[in-house]
Amino acid sequence: MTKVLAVALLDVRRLSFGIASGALVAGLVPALASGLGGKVEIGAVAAVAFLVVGLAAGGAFGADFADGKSSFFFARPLPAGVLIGGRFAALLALAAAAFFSLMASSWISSSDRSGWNPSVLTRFHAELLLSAWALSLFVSLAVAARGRGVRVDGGTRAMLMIPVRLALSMGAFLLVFGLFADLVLRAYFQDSVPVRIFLLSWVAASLVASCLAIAGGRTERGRISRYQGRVMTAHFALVAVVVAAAWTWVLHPGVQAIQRVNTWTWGSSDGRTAYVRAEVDRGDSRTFTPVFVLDVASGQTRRLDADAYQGPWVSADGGTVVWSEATPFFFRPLWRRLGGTTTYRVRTASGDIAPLPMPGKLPDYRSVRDLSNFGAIDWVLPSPDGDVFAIQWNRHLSFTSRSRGELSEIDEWKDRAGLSRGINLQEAAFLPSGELRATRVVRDAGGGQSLAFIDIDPKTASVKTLVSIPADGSLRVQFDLKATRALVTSVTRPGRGALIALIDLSTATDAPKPTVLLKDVLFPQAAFLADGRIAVSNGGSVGAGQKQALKTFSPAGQALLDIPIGEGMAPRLGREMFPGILGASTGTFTDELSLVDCNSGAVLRRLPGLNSPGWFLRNPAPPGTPAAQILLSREGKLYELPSPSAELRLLLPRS
Amino acid sequence: MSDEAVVRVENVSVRYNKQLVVDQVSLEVARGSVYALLGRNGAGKSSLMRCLLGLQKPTSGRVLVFGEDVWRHRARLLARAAYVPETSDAPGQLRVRDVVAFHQSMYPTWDQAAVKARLARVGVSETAMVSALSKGQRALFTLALALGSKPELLVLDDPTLGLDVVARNDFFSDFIGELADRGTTVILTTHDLAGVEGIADRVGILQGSRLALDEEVEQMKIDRGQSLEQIFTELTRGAGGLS
Repeated sequence: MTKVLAVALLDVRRLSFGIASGALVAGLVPALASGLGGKVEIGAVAAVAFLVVGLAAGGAFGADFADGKSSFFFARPLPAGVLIGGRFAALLALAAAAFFSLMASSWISSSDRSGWNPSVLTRFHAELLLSAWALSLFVSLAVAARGRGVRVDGGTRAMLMIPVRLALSMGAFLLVFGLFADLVLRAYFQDSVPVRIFLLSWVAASLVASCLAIAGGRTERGRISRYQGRVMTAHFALVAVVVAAAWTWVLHPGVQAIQRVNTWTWGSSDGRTAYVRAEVDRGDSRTFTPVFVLDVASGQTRRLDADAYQGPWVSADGGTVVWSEATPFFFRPLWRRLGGTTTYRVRTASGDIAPLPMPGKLPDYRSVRDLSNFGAIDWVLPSPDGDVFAIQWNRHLSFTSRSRGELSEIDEWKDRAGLSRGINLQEAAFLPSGELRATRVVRDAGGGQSLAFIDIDPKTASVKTLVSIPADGSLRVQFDLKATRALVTSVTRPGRGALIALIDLSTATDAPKPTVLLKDVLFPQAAFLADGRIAVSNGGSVGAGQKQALKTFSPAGQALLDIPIGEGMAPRLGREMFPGILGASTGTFTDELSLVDCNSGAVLRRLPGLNSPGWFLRNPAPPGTPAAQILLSREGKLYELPSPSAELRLLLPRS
Repeated sequence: MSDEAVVRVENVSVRYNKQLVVDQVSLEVARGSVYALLGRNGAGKSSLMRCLLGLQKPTSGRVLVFGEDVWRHRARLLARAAYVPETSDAPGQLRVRDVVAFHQSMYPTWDQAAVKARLARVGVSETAMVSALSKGQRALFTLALALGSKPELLVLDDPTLGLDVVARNDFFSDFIGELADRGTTVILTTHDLAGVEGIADRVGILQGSRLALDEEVEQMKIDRGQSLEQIFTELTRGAGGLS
């Protein structure tokens, strides 16, 4: 212990004056900032002070190994461990000196002493101090070990190998870093632990490398350099293996890894498939919820290796699917510059998978600096035959074709005030004619807005407006299967009543008039049934109390049934699970699925804790098909209900 | 190993990358003797000295000090030894008294009074910064530190470097001789052949990284009928050093 203190004292004597002086000056910063109208936290100043202390102490330690000066320690009866321990003790003493100098200076200079307490120090300060010390020691030791230049043996060949080795090293580092960045961005974007472990592992490795180099190299610079190099190479190899393994394991979970099925789950319009977003037993569930493709009848499940929220986008018949393949983000710019294809993929009804024909102006990646999980495309709508794609991206609408390449593009249109607007379609569907029927909100010159129904020719991008209706508030539009009728839900004041109207777009020559189905109803949801009828759920009328109700209307909009299904909040529509039988989630705070027979108005069955996901889908799974019969529980379990009276069959999770 | 050998060097080689600096050197230094290791610049003297103190690991071979491997047991063995490097290794940002205090903590045998007296004798102030000392003062300061622990083995790597002629003569005639009389084993490297001739019991000459000669000084002079300087010149002529 005496020797440890002797070593520490040596370092403290060398550095204390400079560090204490600097800390005294730094302690004035909060007061100075306050005087200038700003605010600087004492904790931030302490962090800077600790950073400086760490760098100074580590640097002084490493510099002692330059030009054989380390014999001062090693030619004495001083074990390497004592030397390192002494220098570490000095670091702590210097940090304490800096902190108390800083706080004393701050106390004297500032009238605001709210931040003046020892708890201003956090774990971050300790990590910062240690990291700065370790990295500074490593670097200064490396510099000391190579201080007189790198000696190259072997002549020209060795000289030529230097850039090769450098390039290989950088390539290896970029590969590992790229994989790690991809892992974090996809699976741990909201969890700092992996990044902290990654960074601290390098700090720890550099500290171990320095300690081994000091103990094993002593005064021999070549050995010091070799020890450092070997430890860091070994650490790099370990990191590479761990990162590659983690990247593979975390980002490629199998169906057994599913722990909880997410509400973003729906049955495909092909009637067979369900797209299931799930929390898995790895990654941060706030960030990482991979999509699985489930064949409901057979139970076969496979993961769709897709970027988050970049698909799957499915055609009206469910035969064509588009998604962005989850290749590592970090390498995408390089990959594209090397002539690689887009990450967006199309799977056609035949099962072939091919690159999505992309708009020429659209890069299918964002800059790595975005550090974003999101791709460049808002949505893709494949035509039923799987040949044409409407792509909305960055306020553009483009049409591309698998057989004909890029067709057309709209990058702006004018509103009624003459202002240029980017493209932001509310709803869109392909017509049998091949045109795209869509809606857009148009701002009027007087400040109001209207909803325009438009048909767009993909070949020419020419736009024909079918009808434009005044429509205030927040709008939701739903087309029926053929896009010949539309349901418009308008909420002007949330919670204070909404209006639901039906618009028949089949008579293109006459300007269609909206038929108001309901108005001043609370929390309404509406959907077309497979036979053309309309179901509307609501929580009762404004002023009439909350009564859960489900109303049905004929295809033309005449009221048919008024089905009371309970008290409390508005029911949430589910899917039409069987022909004429609708799932509706009811209850006040807990889900209870009611199977409602829209023909008789009877509630056939109540299933507590369940709901029927995907009421919002434009192209739902046909009623009676397996994909229409999926149910999701509060606990995140996915079931199939093969018939209204059957037992539930658990689909996911498997374990 | 003879019982009287304080230092035994066994087939030691030192290599820096592909450069062989010390090649298969073996030697012994008897207790209480003065051994002078000579050689031209770059002959490997300093490397051998560092191996001898466990500061550097030989590429091959080993060094036994007090009968134990010095690389493995450096810290324990060096409690009985002291080292004077070619240039002072004391940190320049410290005061002389701080460095002395540090050494006092290192050695249980430390003689503080003797060190103070020696520093006063050579004119080194205890309050002076190490960096402010002249080259000669630093050499004498380093010597004083080495002697403060009353070492059984003293290793000096060209200790008279930077000393003027008078100080150099005093050093060899009095200082080293006195140590030898006290039974301290001394190993030194030097270019001062005249100075060492009178005090060394045995001399080793490194030439071309090998130990070309390892003999008793007096016997060598009798056998060859030449002075140490003549023998050294004859042996090392044409053998270029590294530097």
